Amino acid sequence: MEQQVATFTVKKGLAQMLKGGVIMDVVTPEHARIAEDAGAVAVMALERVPADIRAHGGVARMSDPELILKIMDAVSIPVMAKCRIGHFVEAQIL
Amino acid sequence: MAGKLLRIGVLALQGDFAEHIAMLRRLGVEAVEVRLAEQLDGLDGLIMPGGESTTFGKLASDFGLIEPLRKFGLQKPIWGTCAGAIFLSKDAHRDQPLLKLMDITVERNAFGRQVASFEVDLDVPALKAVSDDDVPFHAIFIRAPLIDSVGEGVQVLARLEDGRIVAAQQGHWLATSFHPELTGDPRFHQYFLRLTSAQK
Repeated sequence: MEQQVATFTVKKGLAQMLKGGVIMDVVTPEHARIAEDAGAVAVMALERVPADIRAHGGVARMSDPELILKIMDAVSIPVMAKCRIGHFVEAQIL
Repeated sequence: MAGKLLRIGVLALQGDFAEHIAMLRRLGVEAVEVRLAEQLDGLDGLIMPGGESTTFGKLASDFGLIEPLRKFGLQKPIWGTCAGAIFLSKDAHRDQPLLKLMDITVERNAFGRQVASFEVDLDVPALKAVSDDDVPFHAIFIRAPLIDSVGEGVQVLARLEDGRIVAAQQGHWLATSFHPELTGDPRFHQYFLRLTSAQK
């Protein structure tokens, strides 16, 4: 069989590897390093953490792609990011 | 075949230990979750699952498991899959807690990020010891590490087409970059049980 990427199995498999672990919300590369050192299995790169959004109001937006790249460089664990629902150009950037 | 009365532990700090346990029970052996040092008592072998090796290291250090695991490994078989293989190795090219038992060095995330995770069929001649099925082993690589060098006395069990090492054995230690527990194919688990019963 030829090598296959992006199959259902490898996508589901990643979730299986994360089981029993903590995924930390982070805003900066520095946060991400703290999370990794503390034993997080992955980080979620957010523009603002939910508590700040609740405190200051407004909507949850996608992080700056430059910042996401910096966070990806900062840690060896998986990095996840979100975009606004329906904003497919943001999704394409991710 | 092998497996009768064997008690196999699965390191259950984090990761896909449930899949290993399911496979072991399917093969009719007793499978035990291991989170504390005393749970290693009376085990015939240990599997360290996939997950995040940095998280294993952190939790194993915090719960005082590193030394008990090392001692266990000097006596009994250990098999590490993916993150477990990293944890078993002597060097992962970065500063993180490892058991440093097996004389291999590994490169974490050697194939790139999750978008590069893949499945491929591997030729694993050693599996002929447990099965007459001469079919390739379907290997699932998820943010997988690569065994980039092996020491003396380490036997290479499988390579990718380009020659890179993805499975190795040193005495009663086994390391695989991929995840046999995510397939329906029990041959690697049978191979480990065979190793374990030979040691018992």
